Amino acid sequence: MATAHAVSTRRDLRFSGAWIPALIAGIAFLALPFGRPDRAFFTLDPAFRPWALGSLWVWLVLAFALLALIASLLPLRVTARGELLTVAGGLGLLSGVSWLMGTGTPFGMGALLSLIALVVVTGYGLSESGRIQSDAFVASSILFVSLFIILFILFPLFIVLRTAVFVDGSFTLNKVWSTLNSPLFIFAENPYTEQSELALMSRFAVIGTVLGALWALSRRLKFARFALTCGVAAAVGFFIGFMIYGRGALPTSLLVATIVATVSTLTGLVFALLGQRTRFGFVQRSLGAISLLPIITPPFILAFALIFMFGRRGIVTYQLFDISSNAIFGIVGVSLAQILAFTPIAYLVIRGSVASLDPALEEASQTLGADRWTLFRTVTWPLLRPGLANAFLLTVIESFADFGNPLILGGDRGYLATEVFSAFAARFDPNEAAVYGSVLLSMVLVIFFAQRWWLGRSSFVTVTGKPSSGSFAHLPRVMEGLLLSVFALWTLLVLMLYFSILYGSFVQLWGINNTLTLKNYRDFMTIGWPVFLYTARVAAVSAIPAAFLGFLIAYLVVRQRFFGRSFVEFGSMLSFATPGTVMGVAYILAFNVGPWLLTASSVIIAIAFVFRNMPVAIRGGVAGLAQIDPSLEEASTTLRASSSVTLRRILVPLLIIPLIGGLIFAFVRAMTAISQVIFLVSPGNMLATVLLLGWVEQGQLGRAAAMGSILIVSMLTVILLLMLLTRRRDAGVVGVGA
Amino acid sequence: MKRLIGFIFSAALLFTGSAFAQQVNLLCSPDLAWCEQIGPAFEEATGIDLEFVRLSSSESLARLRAEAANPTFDVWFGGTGDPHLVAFTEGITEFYKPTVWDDLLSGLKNAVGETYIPLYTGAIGFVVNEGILAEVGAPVPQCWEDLVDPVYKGLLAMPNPNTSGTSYTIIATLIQIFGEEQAFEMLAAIHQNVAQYTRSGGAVGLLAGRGDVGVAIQFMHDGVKYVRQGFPVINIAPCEGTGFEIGGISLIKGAPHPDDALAFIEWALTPEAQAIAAQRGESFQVQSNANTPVPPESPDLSSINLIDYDFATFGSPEVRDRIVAKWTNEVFPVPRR
Amino acid sequence: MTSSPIRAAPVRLEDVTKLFSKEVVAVDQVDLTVEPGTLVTLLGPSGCGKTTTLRMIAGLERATSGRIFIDDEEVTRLPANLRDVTMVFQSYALFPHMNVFENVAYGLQVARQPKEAIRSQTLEALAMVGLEGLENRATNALSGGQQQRVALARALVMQPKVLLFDEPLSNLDAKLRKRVREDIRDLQKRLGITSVYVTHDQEEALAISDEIVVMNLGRIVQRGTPHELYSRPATRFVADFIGSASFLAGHYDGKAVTIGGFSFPHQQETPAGEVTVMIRPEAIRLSTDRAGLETTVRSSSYLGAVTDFVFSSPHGDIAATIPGEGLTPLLRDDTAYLTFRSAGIHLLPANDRHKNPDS
Repeated sequence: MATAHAVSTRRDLRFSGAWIPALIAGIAFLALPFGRPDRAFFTLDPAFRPWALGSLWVWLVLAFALLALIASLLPLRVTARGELLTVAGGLGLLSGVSWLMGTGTPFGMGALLSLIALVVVTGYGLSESGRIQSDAFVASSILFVSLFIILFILFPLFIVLRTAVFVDGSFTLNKVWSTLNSPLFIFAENPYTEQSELALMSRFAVIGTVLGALWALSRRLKFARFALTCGVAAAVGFFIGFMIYGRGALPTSLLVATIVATVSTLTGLVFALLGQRTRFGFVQRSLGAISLLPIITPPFILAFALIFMFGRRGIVTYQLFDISSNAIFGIVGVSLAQILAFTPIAYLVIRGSVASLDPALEEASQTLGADRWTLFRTVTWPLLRPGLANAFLLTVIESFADFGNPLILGGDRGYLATEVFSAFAARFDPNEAAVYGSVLLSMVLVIFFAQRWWLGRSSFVTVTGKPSSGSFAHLPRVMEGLLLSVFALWTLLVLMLYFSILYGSFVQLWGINNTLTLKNYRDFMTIGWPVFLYTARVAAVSAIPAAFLGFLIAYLVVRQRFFGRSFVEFGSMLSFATPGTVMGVAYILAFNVGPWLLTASSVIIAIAFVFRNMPVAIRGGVAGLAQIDPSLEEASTTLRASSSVTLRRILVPLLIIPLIGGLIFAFVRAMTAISQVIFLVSPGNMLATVLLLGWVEQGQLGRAAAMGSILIVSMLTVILLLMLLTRRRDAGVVGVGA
Repeated sequence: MKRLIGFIFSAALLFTGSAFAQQVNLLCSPDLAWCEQIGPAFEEATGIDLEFVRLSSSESLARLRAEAANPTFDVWFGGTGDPHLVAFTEGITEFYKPTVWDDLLSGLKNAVGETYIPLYTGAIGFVVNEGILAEVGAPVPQCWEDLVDPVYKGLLAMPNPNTSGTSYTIIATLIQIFGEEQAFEMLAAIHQNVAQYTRSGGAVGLLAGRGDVGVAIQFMHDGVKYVRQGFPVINIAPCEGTGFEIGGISLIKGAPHPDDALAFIEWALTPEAQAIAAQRGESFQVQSNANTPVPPESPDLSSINLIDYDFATFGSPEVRDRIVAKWTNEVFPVPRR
Repeated sequence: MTSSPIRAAPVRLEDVTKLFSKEVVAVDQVDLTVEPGTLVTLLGPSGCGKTTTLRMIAGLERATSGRIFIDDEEVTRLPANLRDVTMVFQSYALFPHMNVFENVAYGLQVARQPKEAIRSQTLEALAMVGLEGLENRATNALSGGQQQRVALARALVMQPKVLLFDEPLSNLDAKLRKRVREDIRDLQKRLGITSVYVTHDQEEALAISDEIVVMNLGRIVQRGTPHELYSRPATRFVADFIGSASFLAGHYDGKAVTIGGFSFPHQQETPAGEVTVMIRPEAIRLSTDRAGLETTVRSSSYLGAVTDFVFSSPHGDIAATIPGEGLTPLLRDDTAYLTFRSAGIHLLPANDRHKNPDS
């Protein structure tokens, strides 16, 4: 080491690196138009150059950029300069944003670039002043992530809530009242029935009270608790009666959600138990494949196949059993379609808690002489309960949010998710749509927080489902037979439906003219293929930021301590929990006019995908980081690496598998998404699922089947490639909450 | 950080909007098959790109209202006339007199005046699957009043007026024949028989063709499509008379590509362009240009008892919104017996 | 390496406090100076704040208040990657996706050194820790001791102003631990590099340090050379934590100490009166003539060169390590008379009730 001071590791601190973004902010401000007249983003319209805007306010952006530039080049004390940069960057940002929001001018290239640069300046400031205890990269990342969450998650949702109570610019609760009072929402008393529905509901309340009282008596509760128990039981009873006898979107959605969640959870439990304790290996292996299905299938494809299997002229109902009924339209059909779609999700959640059961526990109780039933009742079941609760609540949320199945199979009833859509897209009543959206959102959030409060942090968002090793007791034979028949029935049904889609893509006219043909694929190639390619392109382009942003957020949340960390967690949780239709309305309301005009472009679709799929990548990143010793990063830091270098050279190589996994899942989920983006498609920005839904509705069934088959097969290929890459037997875990 | 900015910039470049290109953004409301044929034919004829989104006519109106401040579409093509009239009244679209104005069927022009350009016409009827009806012993309905019979329980399908212009035409027709009060009583009774309300007016015939229902209420020319595709259905014109539509084409006010929009409207009204509907678009309306040959499959309008449809009244925003809201709140939510 | 002396830099902490939350005080008003070129050990039980102090010097934690100086320059709020400080971690923290050479070269590569310089300096550093020829090995193919040497080389190659060690030996077995700690000490002395070393192992601290800083409950209890701490502990906690000792109540009159009826001469600058007498085990001799403190044998363990005894007396139990087998073989419940060598005696204030939480 002859060159002792060659390793001059101390960065020169006489000036700050913030001069580069400050300079960029200034140049962008002067060289590019700050606003734009309409949707065309890449305009050089001279009317929107800063000097043509006729506003002094907007020049504050330049003033603060210059202040930051000067500050970063002056030989100040590091912390003092940091404070100065923070103030200059922050105020510059604020003045730019406030000008845009105040005038309602859509942001232009100049605004975009200079504001981004000012965020970086602020990041330098926060880091140098020591307010964020890390380097400028982390500080800027924290700022960007927070701003993204505000702009693309909280702001649109806020607009929804505001639209619900602000009609024509003034505050009123009339719309909320009239919407919630509308028979579309709740229709309690059916005039066509002899008895009163409310009386029936009250009868349920009475039954509930009696049962509650009996239970309370058996527990010898004191009076106050006795009364409380009876009250709760009465409310639960009335609620059940309300779901059964009430009509309108609210009771219908509640009823379907309850049915679906119950059946899916139980079936999921059957699968999970079989997966771990069956004597038949092939059952375990096929479970791995089944867990993939919901991820690769556009959500409404099964609804579409169900009509052909179980409709009035359905292959099963009519040709096999000679039943002519269209009972499939309505609660039955929607529930069945949702059960088929969500059972694998419930399975993945429950599998996590089944896998975490310790075989030693069971062995211990077996040595104590417990037979298998006792064992199951006293040991296994209590351990399973949290997983079951998780699965139940997650399925409830999914059912509320589901949009495609009710649209196709809904029958004569309305559902909350479809009412959001028809209020906006059909009746064009944004206020009404916003009220519905707020109701749906608050129901989902209540469930979400109840779950967090009840089950603690081990929520379904963080389920990792690491399979544990160790040998498990086989199931009792009778029980195994029972479970296997459930599994066989389910598998048969699903295979039949998938096969019917594939078959339908090769016949002339499904159900009427069964001549084999390639015509549907020819039609698909001329009309569907460009849309498919476009969708794949947007999905791929959005998957990259979705994966990296998710990864970055995971890194910040897990490894950095900063003010607002729980805010970032909350925001990304919100984008996970919000039903797609609500987010769709939110985006169209928030980004159609004003400073953040983005609609009718690929950008808005890509942004929707990014923030919809980012939580999956966050979960992957969090799970991956948990397995990496933090001292690796600290070692890298003490070896002079900035956090961006550490991320690039240490964490990315070590976490490359979960990262690629996040990338591919973001892609696949984007390819099969519909509920949010159906609000956002515009001429030239058509997406495969939206086109597919149109074909289904318009009766272009052969083509729809062809598109469905191609989507499913190509997504399956992508997933299989991923599994090959990661050498994992199933990749379902990452897809929970698809 | 520089990389991040670089990425954002290159991602933005990936999405360079086709805003500069010659292009028409079309909001297309007729049958999807027709919409799909228009783009390639127009591009071949003029060299101008065409992008479309297909939405039912009521949905289209909703979309145009939503975007009124900042339209993305240039032309609204097809769909029932009432929403076109509403859009004109609300100032969302503007009237443009095409050079072929004199060639258009004068009956259509007189009915709508200078509000939107007539594109085609067709009458409401029943698309009936006789096999299904025979199964339950229900007769083939011949009149509107037949539909209220409980024998058709679970056997009817019609579109939802919230999304479909066809459905609004059906309701307006009933009101004009029977008066509003009786019409809504009938709608309530029909509601008891309806198995499924569809989003799109053209789609109900599919339910009848597939056998999910026995009777679909929709435009008869859409029924022709299902007959031709091989579904076992027939077309019935109601005995009390029936309403009809004058499908329209409108120029959007503030269209982003006004010149190309006008070029498209001119092209769309030529006999060659209109003939595409029947030749390749599975759509059998009577086209508005008198020089366009009437497709042989089209229902013969002269043999159908057409009512004197009051376009001015039922095309006014107030009437339309009131009727749709009334149906939505008073008929639709009521449970079945 | 020897040809390019590292400019040894002092480290100074002024009134440094670290709060993890409002209630949890990890480090409480610590003042500390590390002279250039010395090795100072932070010693204390787990949770005493020693590691937090070390991490604040590294920049991995930020002080809640107070100021930190390295080479007389304030670095309190300077990010870790801008301080000329490197660290050897308890878990080695070798990058698993890099081989030995890449691990050691990492810091130089990050600093964008020329390729040739990186190569020569990396090989030189590896030679220095005795790992010549292993540069292409995967790190998980090395033994624990070798891995720790790689970590040491990786820290040294940066020629830091300060080198930090966070319990570097705790993952090694006892024999290896002794060897590696001697190597570390040798290298540190040879390079004259300012080092701060954290351990909870008092033997390790005694063996390796120029100076030891004993910490407890976030505060510095005492600092001094190993010898000072051993022979003149300031508190019962220090006495107990460094080496072992027995504590008996006694009286000091300025010249002699009296325990029970037995007096022996002792000189110490401490006020006369009631005291707690600290007695190191090796300071105890068996009296042959009944002149001494009368005790009974509670237990004895023969260890070859020495025998460990526990004697009980009315004033408390006394642990003793006595060379050889003694003049008379002592059995349980035998009476023994003890005398004390002044070198192993230290007087503490009588009211020092400060207990070592570990004992």
